[in-house]
Amino acid sequence: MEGMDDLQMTCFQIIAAVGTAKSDYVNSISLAKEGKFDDARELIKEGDKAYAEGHDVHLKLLQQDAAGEREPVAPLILLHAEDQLISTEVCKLMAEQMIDAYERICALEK
Amino acid sequence: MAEDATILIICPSGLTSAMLATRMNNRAKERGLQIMTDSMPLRRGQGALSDYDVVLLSPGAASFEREFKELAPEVAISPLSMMVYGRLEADRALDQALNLMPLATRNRAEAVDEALEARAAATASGAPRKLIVCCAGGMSSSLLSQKVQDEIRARNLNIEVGWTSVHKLEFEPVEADCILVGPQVSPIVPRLREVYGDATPVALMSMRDYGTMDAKAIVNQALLLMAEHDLSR
Repeated sequence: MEGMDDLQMTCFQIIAAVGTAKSDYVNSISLAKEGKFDDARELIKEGDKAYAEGHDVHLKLLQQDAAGEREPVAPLILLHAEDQLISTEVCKLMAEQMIDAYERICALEK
Repeated sequence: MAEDATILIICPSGLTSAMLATRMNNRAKERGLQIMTDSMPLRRGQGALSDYDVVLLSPGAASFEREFKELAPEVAISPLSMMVYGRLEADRALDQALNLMPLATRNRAEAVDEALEARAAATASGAPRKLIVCCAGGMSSSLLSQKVQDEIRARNLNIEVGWTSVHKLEFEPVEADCILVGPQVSPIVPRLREVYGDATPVALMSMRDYGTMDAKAIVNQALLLMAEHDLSR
């Protein structure tokens, strides 16, 4: 793409993919809150697919670094992409825990 | 000149949305669209939703869609897909916003609907206002103007409707209170605005309203434009 270097585009791919995953994870918690546990777990899987896409792109960068194929520089947008990647990972862990917790609350309320 | 529409892009931190907004503003200029795109991080954007016609959410902010829609039901709010956002596809983001514009116009139009009806009724005794609908050749707008005419009659508004081709409109200027142009001839809008200046407001009908011949939405758009034009004089 013109005027946009490859690294920046790569970062955008990561941010868009893990952003999608993060939204799926957050929305899965909302579903669990409504008692829709199957839908919630299905959405976690959807999120995992998007997350894997972002993660693959990031892994390629790491491999290029390790092989000395790219300048080992990290502009702000790459840091930002990694930040999104990691926070999404935390988001997933929390979402899974919360879905389980809502399920137990729901059982208690019955 | 005021923009036809304003778009707000929201992402969690405001970094990537700013980059997309810059590209969208460049593309809008190149395409001759009077559209301005702003960007904001989540928390700031949340307080500014109502200032925009369309709000687009980055994939990372998409989980706020429902909350934002509750906060600002009159604004068209929609998430951007991973493909569009991840590849910084400014054109596709603009098209998505343009497709949502009818929703925004209609929401806004409905909000002022009552006031406008009252206003229209108050001026019902005077000379009728003149509305022109226009498409490329004059064919589809003649069909549309019939529907618009029916709507005006049904609502008992004091408005006359005419239709014409875009070519005539440019080279044989007409006297009218409002001109609405079909989305297929959108590039001509800036030129028409030069021709008509302050005399007559010229605006684009949305792809949805035009495509579905939504006479109610089109009449609302015309009422709104005429009211805004009256107020500005």
